[in-house]
Amino acid sequence: MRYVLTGIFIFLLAAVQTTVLRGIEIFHTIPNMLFIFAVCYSLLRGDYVALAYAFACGLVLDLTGGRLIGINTLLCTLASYFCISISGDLFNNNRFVSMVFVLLLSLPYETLIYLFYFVIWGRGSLGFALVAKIIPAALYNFIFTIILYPAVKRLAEEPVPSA
Amino acid sequence: MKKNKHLRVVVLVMTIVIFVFMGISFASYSKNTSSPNGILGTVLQPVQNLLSYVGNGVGGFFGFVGDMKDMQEENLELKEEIQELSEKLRDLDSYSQENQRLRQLLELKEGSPQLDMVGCEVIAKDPGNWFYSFTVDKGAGDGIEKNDTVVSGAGLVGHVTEVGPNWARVQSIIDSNSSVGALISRTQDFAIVDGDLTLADSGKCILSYVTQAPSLVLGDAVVTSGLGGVYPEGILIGTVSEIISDSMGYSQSAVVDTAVDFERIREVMVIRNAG
Repeated sequence: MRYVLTGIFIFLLAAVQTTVLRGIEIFHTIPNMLFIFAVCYSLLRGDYVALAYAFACGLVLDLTGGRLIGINTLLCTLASYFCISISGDLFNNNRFVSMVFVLLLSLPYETLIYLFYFVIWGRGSLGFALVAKIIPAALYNFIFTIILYPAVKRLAEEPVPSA
Repeated sequence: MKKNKHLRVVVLVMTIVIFVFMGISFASYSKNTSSPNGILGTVLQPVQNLLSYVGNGVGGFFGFVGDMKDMQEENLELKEEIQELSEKLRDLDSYSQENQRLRQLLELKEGSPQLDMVGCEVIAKDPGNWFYSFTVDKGAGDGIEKNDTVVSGAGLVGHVTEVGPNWARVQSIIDSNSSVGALISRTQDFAIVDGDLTLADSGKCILSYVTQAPSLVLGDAVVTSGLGGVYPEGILIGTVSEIISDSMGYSQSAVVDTAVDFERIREVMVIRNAG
């Protein structure tokens, strides 16, 4: 049942990501709720379930974006794998730790998207991309984690078995 | 006994004094002269004035306190009414804007009867920060196909890149993957309008592959040329807002302000089988 609820939650995040979230854009930037979910969930769970959900989040991003399927899926999966591999070594059940990881992982995430979709095809300006897109997106993800974290934690926590 | 006698004398004197005042009063009343009433009135008047002033003030204060409660209630009612009217005004404003947009689309449709168009609403936008595509609420079931041109009342919006049964994805012309065959209305020069990541947020595109002569002028209208097989000719793309000449002077490029406001786009028309 928890897995179904998590799936529904991801679906809702995707719906919100593509619709109402534009209403809170700052400097033409919106947070990436699916990426935030993938990172936080992976830090909290630290298991293969988290990896599967991160894969799903990336896939949803690719499908709703309408471009080549794979880049978001790959990046979310890799981010999740990184979080899972270190989740046992740090105090992962901490909102601030999740926020920091979202910030630190958003930077390479957005940079790699930019490299794959623009630089490879000889387009774009790295300076502009950093200042106008990559850094603002990472910062907005960092702040938005505060809002999303309680729900992710609720979904990630195993229910306490009744005595 | 002595006391009773003393009392009788006092009462008698007082009676006599009263009669004397009655006599004076009667006399002054009939002759219109100053009377004890008048004298007393003159003496009392300033005191009465003062007391009346104070009394009115006190009475006014209590009256004010009593009125204040009524005024507070009236104030609350008026505030609620203002809020209600403000909400209605906002709704009216929104309907007015929607009316204007839809009227533009209707004019577009009626002005181009040869084009088969279907009206759509924008229901979703790109989930990331790098691209400028959106999803509309009509698809293959409404006759929409891939590469169909999408326009609004203001001008060219983009083209359909993906179609579902009841949805379609549209790539806007400000998207960095977009490239439109263009024509400068004034000079009839052909050019290409490309989306650019650095300009997309401000709703602009790059106009390139323009020969040096004749030269561009600020405000030149740029329309679709019809070349390329995607967009029909004559649809307004935007106007030239900045001209950039290369250092060798061989060619010019320009920044084009798109006619469509992509931040507020809500309703569009898809031209079916236009390409």
